[in-house]
Amino acid sequence: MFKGWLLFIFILAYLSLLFLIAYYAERREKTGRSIVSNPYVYSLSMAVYCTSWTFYGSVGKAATSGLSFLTIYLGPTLMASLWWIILRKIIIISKENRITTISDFVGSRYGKSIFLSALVAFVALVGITPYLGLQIKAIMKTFIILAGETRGSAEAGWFITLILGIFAIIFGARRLDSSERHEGLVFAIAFESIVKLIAFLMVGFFVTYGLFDGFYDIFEKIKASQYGDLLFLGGGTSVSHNEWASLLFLSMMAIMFLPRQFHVSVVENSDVSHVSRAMWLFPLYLFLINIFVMPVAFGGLLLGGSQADADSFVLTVPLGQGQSLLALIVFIGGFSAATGMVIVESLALSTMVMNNLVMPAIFRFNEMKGFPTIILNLKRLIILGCVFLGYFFAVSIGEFYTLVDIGLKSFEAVTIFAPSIILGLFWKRGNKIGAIGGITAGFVIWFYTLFMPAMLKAGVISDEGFFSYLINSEIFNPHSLFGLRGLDRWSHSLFWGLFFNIVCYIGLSIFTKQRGDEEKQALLFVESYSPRMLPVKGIYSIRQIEEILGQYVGRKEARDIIEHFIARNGIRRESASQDDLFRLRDEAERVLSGALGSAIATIIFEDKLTLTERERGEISSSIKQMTDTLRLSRQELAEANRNLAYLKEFSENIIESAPVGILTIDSVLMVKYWNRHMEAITGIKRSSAHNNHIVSLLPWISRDIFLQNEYEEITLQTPSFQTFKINISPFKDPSGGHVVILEDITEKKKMEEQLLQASKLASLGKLTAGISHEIGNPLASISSLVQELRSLDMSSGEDINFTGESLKTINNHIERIANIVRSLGDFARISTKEKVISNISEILDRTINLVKYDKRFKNIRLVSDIDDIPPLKLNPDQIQQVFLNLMLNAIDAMTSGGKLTVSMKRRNESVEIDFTDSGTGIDDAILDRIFDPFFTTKPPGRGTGLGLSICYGIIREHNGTIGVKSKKGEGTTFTITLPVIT
Amino acid sequence: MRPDMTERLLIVEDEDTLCESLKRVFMREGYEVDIASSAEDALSMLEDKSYDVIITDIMLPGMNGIELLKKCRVLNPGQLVLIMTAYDNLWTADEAIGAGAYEYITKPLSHDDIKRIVRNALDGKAPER
Amino acid sequence: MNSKEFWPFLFFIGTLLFNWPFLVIFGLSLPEYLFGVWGIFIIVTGIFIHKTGRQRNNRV
Repeated sequence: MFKGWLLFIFILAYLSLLFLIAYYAERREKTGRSIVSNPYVYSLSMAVYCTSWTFYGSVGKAATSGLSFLTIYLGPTLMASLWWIILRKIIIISKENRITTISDFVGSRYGKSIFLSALVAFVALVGITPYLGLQIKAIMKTFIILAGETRGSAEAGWFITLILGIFAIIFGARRLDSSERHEGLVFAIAFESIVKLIAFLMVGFFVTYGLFDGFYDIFEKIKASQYGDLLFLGGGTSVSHNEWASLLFLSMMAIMFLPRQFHVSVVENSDVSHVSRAMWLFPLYLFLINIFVMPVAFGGLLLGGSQADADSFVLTVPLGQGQSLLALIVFIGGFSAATGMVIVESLALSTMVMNNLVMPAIFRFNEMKGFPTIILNLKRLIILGCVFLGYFFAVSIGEFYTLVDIGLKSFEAVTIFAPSIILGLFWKRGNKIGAIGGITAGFVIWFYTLFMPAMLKAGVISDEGFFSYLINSEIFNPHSLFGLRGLDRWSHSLFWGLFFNIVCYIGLSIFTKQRGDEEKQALLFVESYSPRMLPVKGIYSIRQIEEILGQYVGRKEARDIIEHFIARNGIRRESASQDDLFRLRDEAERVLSGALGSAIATIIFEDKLTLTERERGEISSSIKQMTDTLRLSRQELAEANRNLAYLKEFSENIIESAPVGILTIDSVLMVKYWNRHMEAITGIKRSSAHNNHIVSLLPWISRDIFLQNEYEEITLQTPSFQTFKINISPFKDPSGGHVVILEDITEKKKMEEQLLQASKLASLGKLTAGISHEIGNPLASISSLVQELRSLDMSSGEDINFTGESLKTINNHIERIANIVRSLGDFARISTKEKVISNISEILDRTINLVKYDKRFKNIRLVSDIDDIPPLKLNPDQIQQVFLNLMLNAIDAMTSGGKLTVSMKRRNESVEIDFTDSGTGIDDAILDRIFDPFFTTKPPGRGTGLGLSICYGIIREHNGTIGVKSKKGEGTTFTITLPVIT
Repeated sequence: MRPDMTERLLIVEDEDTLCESLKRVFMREGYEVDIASSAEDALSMLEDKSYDVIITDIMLPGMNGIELLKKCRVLNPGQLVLIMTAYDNLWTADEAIGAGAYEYITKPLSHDDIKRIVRNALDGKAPER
Repeated sequence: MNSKEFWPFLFFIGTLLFNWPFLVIFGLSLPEYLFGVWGIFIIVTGIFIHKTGRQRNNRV
């Protein structure tokens, strides 16, 4: 028994200790030797899960329904094994996205939805505040028990609530950037966890070994008593297997989704690796704190306590045994359990309310003077509001309900978040509408099946009218919705709540589209992408960032933050890189989102440039396409290169192996290419020829030729009596230059000569018969006359006359012979190779004379029409050969006589010579082949067929043309045109 | 042998000078000589008269000497024909002899040779070649 | 067996052990059973954590 005021002083002292501890921890953090950043403190901070429910309520539950209390701790143990996968992911995502509350988490996942986060905040507030209240109630109740009187309990309650609120403010809301962790607060909570564990172990030890003879003793005794059932489950006990399973499940949800748990395990986490140790340390704590629950409960019962008071056994038993000190320790333990919950939960709740309910309404007022201070004070106010809301609950409603009862209701409330969060972490399709639908449905069920019956029972709402009808109906009975009977309250509520929740979530997610940021956020969460992987946001300057930040956290604060960041990262103000600016902006957003929620923070920085996942997908697929095309192009390019190299080699081979000399020169007549045959022809090696002037290499080519820009073909003879046919083509390239092809035609020319000679001889052969006759006859005449003259004796005058006459005749005949011989001699002579100035009419005349000696000529009428033509440069032998050939052919064609017309006329720039016969004519079909070499219409042995092709060649060499017109049966005309060039 | 005993010769040659010359030569020998400057003329003359020896050139305008030879021999199988030619090749010789010529003689011809050959032919002696 | 597989497996086993079939089996000595399994569960978790911690340090 302590007097109230004494107790009060103890409480104050303890609270002061807490303050000191928190302060110490913060100091350590500031100097960089954090005492909090380790897995042990982390695990202990999680033990804030064990509230006065654990301290008092478990014993109460154990005494009334046996083992079912264990579910509340087995659940978290099981869940802890999944922390490796789930909790780490949540922590990583939350750190990356500057998430500081569970409502922010949900809202952020579903496209930074303000509405959704507000909804979650609201549900949390409704679901948890009653429970918060009951902690305060527990403090007050135990105070009364210990003090032995109720006097002053109300004031104490009120006062303690205030102190707790102030503690929360001091250690949780001193500045507006609550994305930073609160090491002081966390350390205080961890300390409280140790205190409550020790206290419970002490009382447990006391009861088990002090009042009884150990576990076995207590259990045997209980079994023997009326309470034997408590040791069993299922069947006839008060706890069905269904309930067991449901409670197990609910506690699994609670350890994840209670706002205070989210806060200490996610927001306050400093290092993800701490999770691994916590995975067994925390369950170990739970194990330890529960060892003595049953002994104390059973002990209490065995000592005569009633089940109804079992909640307070932990305190009343030692008190009853006169252990005041122990009782005080127990009280402090319970106090720790309660206050820990209140502080953390009120901080978490108020942050949610502030960021998700209040800020969206007022942030547009940022222009207002002193806005940052307003925000900060607003937050502090809300904290106080939360705790006093709890107090309100404590004094008004708390009477009717046990801790466990209210506790489980809040467990069911936070389970509403489970589908949206768990499925949202692993299913990208989960969208905002689904989440809103699911949470709303879950909340409705929760409200209807759990909250409303409580309010009815408390008389807050009355059971009347339509409402009454609804409640008492078959289908809408809050305790057996849709006729589902036989389930305990928790299972029933859990079942329907989850059912509608999940159905709405999945159904709506499937049937509605994601909009706006949802895709990106889904990606971020499910794939745990770093937001830095996503493309560019707008760039703000340092000054701009400072300005924006200052509007919300205060100028000085903003400047401090920025200076701090710049210093820590070695950025120079003047030469900050784009990357630096991004990071600074990220930091500023982080600060703001801790204070105001990430949705608001993002809006503030007006991040308009992020792309939706589809856009991002399109960009990356375009990039992929481009890289693929590039890769392909590179491949094609390589292939083309290979082909090019091959072709180059191939064409070089061709050029090199060509039996003609090929060389190229540039625009200043420097040799750029000189092939192998050139080396052979000229004896000049490629290396010597390269980059030399062509005139120095081939002096016999006049450089004028290269000045033409047209194709040239000339035949030249070198001083060494080689004949070359030279083709010169200019390059189409603007850089100029020429390709020169040299063909050594010396041999060819020789052969042509011989051919010409042979052809001549052939022609000659044709004439032979005629000519020998032509010479033979006059010769015979002369011979005969001479013989006559020799037989004369010259006596008579007759003889003398005769001699005179005969001599005259002989002379004539000799002249005749001489002419023929001369003509023949001219013809048979080896022809000249050159063109000389000649009289073409004279040549034609001579040829006609020659032809007359063909006996066949007798039957032919010759008509000649020959103009005077100025002298031309031509090869007289060759031209004569042509004329002769054509005329002989004409005679051949006129076997039974005919008319041969030969005309030579001057026509402007050229001379036209026609040979027209009235012979058999040439078939149209073979007309274009007659100039072909070896083509002949004559029977074998009679004609070589070379004649016309040689004529063609000769005329071509004179740059003239030769053509033929013929009509079968009527005659043929050959036409030669030669240019008049001197 | 004809009753009037004067031997008649026909000379077919388109070279006038030679023709005249030969006519004078044979007339001095006492032969009767007619001349024709083409084979056609000779044939029309042969319709009126017969000759003891026909001397003909091969190269004639129109029908050539060989053809004339053949035609004469058809008219008169024993007709004595002498071929004159500027060619001297086996082929022409064969053709001429094969066609029934008594002999052939190449131009320019010697008066002594031709007089002798004509005499031999008229005497029925075998040809020299 | 790596972490990603082990934990769901452990979770599943734990859920089974703490629930209906086994609760009936061990119905007669539930407190011992429950606390016993609980203790083992914690120890197994601890051991595996220790092992993966060591692995990661080795790998690093």
